[in-house]
Amino acid sequence: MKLKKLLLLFIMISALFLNGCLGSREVNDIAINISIGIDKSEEGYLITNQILNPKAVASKSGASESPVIINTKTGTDLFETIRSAVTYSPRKLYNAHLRTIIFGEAFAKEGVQKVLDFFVRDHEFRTDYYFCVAKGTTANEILKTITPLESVSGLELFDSIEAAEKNYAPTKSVKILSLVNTLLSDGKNPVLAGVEIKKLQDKSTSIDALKETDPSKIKLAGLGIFKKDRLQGWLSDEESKGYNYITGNITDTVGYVNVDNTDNITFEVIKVKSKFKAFMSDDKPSINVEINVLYNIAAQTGTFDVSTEANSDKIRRLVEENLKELCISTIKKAQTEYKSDIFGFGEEIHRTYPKLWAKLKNDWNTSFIKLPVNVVINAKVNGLGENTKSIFSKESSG
Amino acid sequence: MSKIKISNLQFALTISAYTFGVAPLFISSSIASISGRDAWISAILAAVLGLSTVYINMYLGKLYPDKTLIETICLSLGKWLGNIVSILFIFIIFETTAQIIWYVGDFLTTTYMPEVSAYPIDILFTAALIIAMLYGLEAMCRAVTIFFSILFPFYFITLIMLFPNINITNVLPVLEYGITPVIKGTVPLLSLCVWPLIVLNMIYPSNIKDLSKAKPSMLYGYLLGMFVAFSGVLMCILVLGDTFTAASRFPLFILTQEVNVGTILTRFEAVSVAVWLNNIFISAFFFFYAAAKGLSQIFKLSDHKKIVLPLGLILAAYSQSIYKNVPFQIEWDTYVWPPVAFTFGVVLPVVMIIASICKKAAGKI
Repeated sequence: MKLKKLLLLFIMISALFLNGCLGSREVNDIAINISIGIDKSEEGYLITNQILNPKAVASKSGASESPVIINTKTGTDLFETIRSAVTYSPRKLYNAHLRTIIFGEAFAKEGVQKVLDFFVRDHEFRTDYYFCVAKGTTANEILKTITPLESVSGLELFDSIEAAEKNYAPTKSVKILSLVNTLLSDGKNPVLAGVEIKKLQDKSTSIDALKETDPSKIKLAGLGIFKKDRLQGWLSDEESKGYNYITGNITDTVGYVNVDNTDNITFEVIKVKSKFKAFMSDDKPSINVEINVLYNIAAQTGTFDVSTEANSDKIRRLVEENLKELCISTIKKAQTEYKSDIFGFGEEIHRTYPKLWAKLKNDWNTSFIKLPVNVVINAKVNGLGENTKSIFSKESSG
Repeated sequence: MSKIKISNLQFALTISAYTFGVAPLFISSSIASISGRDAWISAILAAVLGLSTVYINMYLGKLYPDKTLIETICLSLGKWLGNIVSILFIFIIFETTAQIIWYVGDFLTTTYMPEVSAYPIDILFTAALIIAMLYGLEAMCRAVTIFFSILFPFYFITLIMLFPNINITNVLPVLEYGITPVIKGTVPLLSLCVWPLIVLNMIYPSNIKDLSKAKPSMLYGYLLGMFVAFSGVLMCILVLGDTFTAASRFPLFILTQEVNVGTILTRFEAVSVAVWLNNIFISAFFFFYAAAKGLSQIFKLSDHKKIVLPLGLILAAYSQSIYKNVPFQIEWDTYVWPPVAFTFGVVLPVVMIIASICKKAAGKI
């Protein structure tokens, strides 16, 4: 009994001191960091933290203050610079709700690998934010821009990357896990979503910008191609779509073909599956890319009868040709212009011919330039939407 | 003397929780650092190799049906040698208990509360251990069934929700560097999960209600525990990739951060932490129980509960100085622990079996 009493006393005393608030931080002591921009500066880094302004976001009466606070600091060490933001604000940064990390173009060209360890090692960062690269500008400029709809550009970027990837596929959402794994692999190079500022007006950094009808300043801009961890160049929206076709990273997208040189037929792709296959031809590794596409007819400009079997077959062949051209031009661009295997063909060769790969892997990007790639598209029409023939076709029905 | 008896179901679940016990959060990391993307094969291989350990332990239990391990050591190796070996054994177990408590403090301070000292966390954990010890073995085994029925489904639901994140190419090509790294990769799993099973011989023959059915329950419990370990390793490799897993300190924790089903079911890492804390609590309990019970048997004390509180206080303090820092812990676990575990988990029981067979043979002549 005595032991129990002692124990009880011990627990009560511990409860006094250990009341579960150890190391706690109240909401009014933290500054929620939405986005981190990393740029090059003379000292080393130029860090931009985009911090949520709780007053402006919470107030229902409309924004009279800027919804975000921009916190810029230069320094030679990444973490030290981020942490030293506390000299600018009375609250310590809280990074668990981080949505985007933006690399400035100049920074990305010098390699991004050196900053990644921090984001994996530090306990406060989760793994669910996206990486992107500022095209033709600095991350600082992007984060300073005020955007409509979401009003916090870091959040808007996150949402538009997600929405664009799902509905049009001109970009790709890259989280830290896939970025790190791609950097680690010898046979694949990363791509990151590009972001650019559409036009810079005088008022764009003030709240007055929202009073204009065309306030959208931030725009997704294709994919940035990396070689290892260095930015090489950019794919256009169309080529980025090609990239997503090749890697099978499409949930929904749109394209069009031209029939008889007059009518444009728009098709909506609803399912894409792609498969790489490595094979040997003339003792050299080659890649066969097979892409299965399922599409609906979405619109047409003329009176081409899409409802007959023969015509639908004609469209199917056109779609296949169109997509094949798109994919091949994307691959050509990666091979000739940027010399970087962003598709993961090397990984496929690694999986199929592990022994051959041991010789190839050290200089894969050079072998990639000469890699023969064969693209096969198998398109299949699914439906015609809510119409059969064009509503304007005046053919007599018999 | 009324003896504590536990049922076969409780025993099976205890074994499985104990097998998986300490390891889940970081085992994948040490396996993946050796055998790369073939870590899951290592896990299967370890489960198969570990069966021999289970059978050795079973055979050992059969030799002296109502004795604990410490009594068996003394009986088979003689009074002097037996006592020395027992004391060494207890010392190692006790030290391991302190290490387990260190793990808890280290994990929580690394991932959730880096500003906080690990002391209060360790003290709380030790306090819970002491309370569990005072309630006794029977209560703990009943608690294990409750823990199991709640947490085991949670663990698997979490893993199932990771299916959309699986990247099958992470495990291909299979066996790129041959079978050697795969065999080497079994060592962390064997040394952390399988060889320490010898500790459960403190309860296996002596505290089991129905000895005739204990064997299958031991086997099923072991296989279940290894299956849980295997699924954790496999999912880590499939979702995170081998290099990332190997570099991460707590891969399973990172893994469960990846859960994102319909944007509603996200941020599940707390579930994995709850599962792990419970498992590690069960493991720590049995290590602690074996140490306290063994010590009381060596010194011929009537009740081991009398020494629980002092031992617990030593544990709480010792757990802070057991490892100097994290690099020390990693080196110790990689280079020192496997031989220690092998000595006490495999060599010792085999020597004991040989010694007692020789004794019996000599007795007959």
